[in-house]
Amino acid sequence: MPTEVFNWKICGVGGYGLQVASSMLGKTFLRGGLNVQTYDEFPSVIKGGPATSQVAASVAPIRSPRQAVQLLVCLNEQSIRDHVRELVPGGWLLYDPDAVPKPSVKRTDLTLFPAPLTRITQEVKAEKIMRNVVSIGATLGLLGFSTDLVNQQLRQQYGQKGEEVVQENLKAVEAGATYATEHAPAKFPFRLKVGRRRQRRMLISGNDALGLGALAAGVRFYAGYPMTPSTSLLFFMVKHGPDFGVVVRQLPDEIAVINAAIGASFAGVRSMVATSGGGFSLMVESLGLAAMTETPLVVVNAQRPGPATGLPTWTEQGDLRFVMHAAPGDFPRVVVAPGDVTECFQAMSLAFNIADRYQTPVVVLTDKFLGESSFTTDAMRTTDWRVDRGPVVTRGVISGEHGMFPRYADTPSGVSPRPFPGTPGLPYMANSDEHDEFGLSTEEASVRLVQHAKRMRKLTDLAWDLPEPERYGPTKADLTLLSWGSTKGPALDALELLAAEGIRINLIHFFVLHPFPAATTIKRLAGVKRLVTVEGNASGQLAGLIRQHTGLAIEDQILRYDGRPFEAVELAAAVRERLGIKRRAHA
Amino acid sequence: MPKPLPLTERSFRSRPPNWCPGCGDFGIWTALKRALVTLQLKPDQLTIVFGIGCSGNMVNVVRAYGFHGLHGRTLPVAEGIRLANHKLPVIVVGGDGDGLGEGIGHFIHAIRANPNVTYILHDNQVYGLTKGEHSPTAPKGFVSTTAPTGVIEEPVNPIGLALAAGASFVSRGFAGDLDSLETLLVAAIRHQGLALVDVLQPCVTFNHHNTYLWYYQRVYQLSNVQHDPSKLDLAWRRAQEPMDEKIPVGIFFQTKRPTLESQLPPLQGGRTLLEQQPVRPVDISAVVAQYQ
Repeated sequence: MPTEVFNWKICGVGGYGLQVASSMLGKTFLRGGLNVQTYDEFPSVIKGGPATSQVAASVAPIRSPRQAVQLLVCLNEQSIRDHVRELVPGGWLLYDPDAVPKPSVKRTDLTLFPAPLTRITQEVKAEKIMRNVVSIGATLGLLGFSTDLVNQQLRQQYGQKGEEVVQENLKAVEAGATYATEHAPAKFPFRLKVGRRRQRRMLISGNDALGLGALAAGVRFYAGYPMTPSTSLLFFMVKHGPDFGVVVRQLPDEIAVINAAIGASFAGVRSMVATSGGGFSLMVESLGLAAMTETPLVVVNAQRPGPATGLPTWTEQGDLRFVMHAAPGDFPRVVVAPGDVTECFQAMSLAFNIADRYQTPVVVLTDKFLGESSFTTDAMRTTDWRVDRGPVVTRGVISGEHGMFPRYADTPSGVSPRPFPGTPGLPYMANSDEHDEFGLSTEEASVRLVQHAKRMRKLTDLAWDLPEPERYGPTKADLTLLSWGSTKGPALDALELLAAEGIRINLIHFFVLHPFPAATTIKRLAGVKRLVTVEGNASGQLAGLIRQHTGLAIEDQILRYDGRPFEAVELAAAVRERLGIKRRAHA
Repeated sequence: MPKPLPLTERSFRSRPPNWCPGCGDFGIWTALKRALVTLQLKPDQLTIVFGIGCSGNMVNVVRAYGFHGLHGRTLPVAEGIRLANHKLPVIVVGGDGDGLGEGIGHFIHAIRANPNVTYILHDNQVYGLTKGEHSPTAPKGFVSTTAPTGVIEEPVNPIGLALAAGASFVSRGFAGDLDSLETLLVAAIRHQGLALVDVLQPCVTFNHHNTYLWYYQRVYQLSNVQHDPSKLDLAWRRAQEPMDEKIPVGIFFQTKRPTLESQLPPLQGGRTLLEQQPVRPVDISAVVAQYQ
């Protein structure tokens, strides 16, 4: 039976190399011409604690993880108990009989495949940890995939570590494949059609896509402090930054992180920081500093469920209102929330250009699901990109009795030309106190009014300079979903599932959340039959924004805040229920 | 083209100061301007990062490139500026409340990193702008508006703290001795690495204990006694001298330590990060290939 989506899930405890395995299998499927989506669940501990990693492969695009599993690989007994219910009818459970001599599985529709992963590692003289690699071999054997694909992948992944490491892994893969071919208890019922490898495809996580975008946009200074789920972006920058001439600093706290980035940006280089909600909380006062001194800054907030320490390794979209309002006083800022890895990449060009053009902070809002899961996309390119540093001057006219440069001169757009410190002849002060055009402190009401209005005026041009909400699916639909950020993937997958059943729904997706695209929203929502918001938070933050800016109250909200991303199948079911449609019997 | 004026103290003046008459900040301000003239550093050839407080209000009386940031956060800003442009001298001006209260974490960590920054710490035992609360350097028993029966805590010893953190230049100056302070600031700015200049600075409005007279009776120059600033153990001993008896000023300790800037590969090619800032999108195809 050909499978639309083949979902492979490996389960064990943290430290078993589950993510390594899924990334290896994912790349193998990608190289086999398939669309791939990987998703990890792991506890906030280094070793131990239940962890899983899954790889979904499909000929059609796949943008979100699926709960239903075709092949479950369990490396310990607990994981069988926890996950066997996720198998589809007729699903296969592959387990290591050396770790689980007698698995207790009540379901009778499943095929149990005891594959002695531990023994196979011993036979090929590999460490026990390499059970993960053997299991990939077994999976490829069951699917009838050639191990050549994994061979190329191993060379790419481990080539730098030397031929020995490549060969060790390769042996483990081949031993697993041979065992599966020879000992499978039945014919494996799931078939994946291998396509031709498509050259211009890649499999990448949201955080890596942000890093790639930042490199392409010419970031020169990156500072970070470890905080899940932003840390993999710090790892990316540490790994690749130096090759691109980027100074990457792990600093002692998030306050130092953002202030160092503000200093570097003030001195003229493109600077960014990344953190999660807790770290963002520490950065709050300094966000206002960037705005007050009109210093460009890009801040990534990879959300996780809060408040406080919350659920460190899980996902949520609960920080939208927080980042929109963080820091005392009013100031112009931009909040964007990429919906997929391509948008992550593109968002960095936009964020740096907007930050430079408007000399104010830009917040890029992602989350654990988007940041740390991998998705298939076309290879990222910068063909239509440009670097816009905004109004920077190297010459100018000094004025005032003191002969300083009017860096904060009142302008129609609210943006004033800036010299970088060290520019001959144009000294000025960047000042967190309210200041005059030279940056000198003032408490004069008239000057305050001019400067505050000048800063806030940037929002007028900004409103025209940002992408508008996009509509996906048919123009006319029986129901319209509204989403922002990472919910785009599950929502689009739900749209496709429903379209296959002839159910016409569409999606309006928000990439820019602040300044809120009120006019477009009103236009897009006019004449819509039925509206449902889909958000990963408890209070319906987008729905609140829409009501605030359009007067439209959307009562029907699908909210999720259990730390897990939305699931397309569940979303589709929720839509069917709303439309009073019964699911047709499974084909 | 008019001939450029010679560099003088006046070159660094913007607005007239509004510190209380007699404030120790006047002395530090004057000594700093003189040191810059001595070093022939022009207003557009350096950046001064100011903290929040009376000391930070120097932002309004100095003509130069400057950044007046948030309370306690001067040093990270200074590090960021140095990393973006390591050809630009950076001087930090901040108070004891700013740097040793709110910012004490940055103080330790900046010293560990050792960026080439001169840190002028205005040390007057009180918060002036907010009306005379005690600062972290106020001695135990010090009576302030918020400690009417005397401060309970032991004071922070910035010299000892800097030595313990591994500072490469640790010094103390006195705002009432302009010539010595200027000499000290010149040495500090010339030093390669983070140079701490803890400046004893009488607050004539809120601190009636540590007055000019009180300091004049106690301050002595380390250069006038047998002190070798290359010896950490001697510096330690001098740092522990009780402030209410004799107060050493001058360079406690100076050593060569690699600066932060000298250890970051992107800064080793002779060009600053700013000079390397791309103006066109960067080719990332080599990294993209790793995801294919």
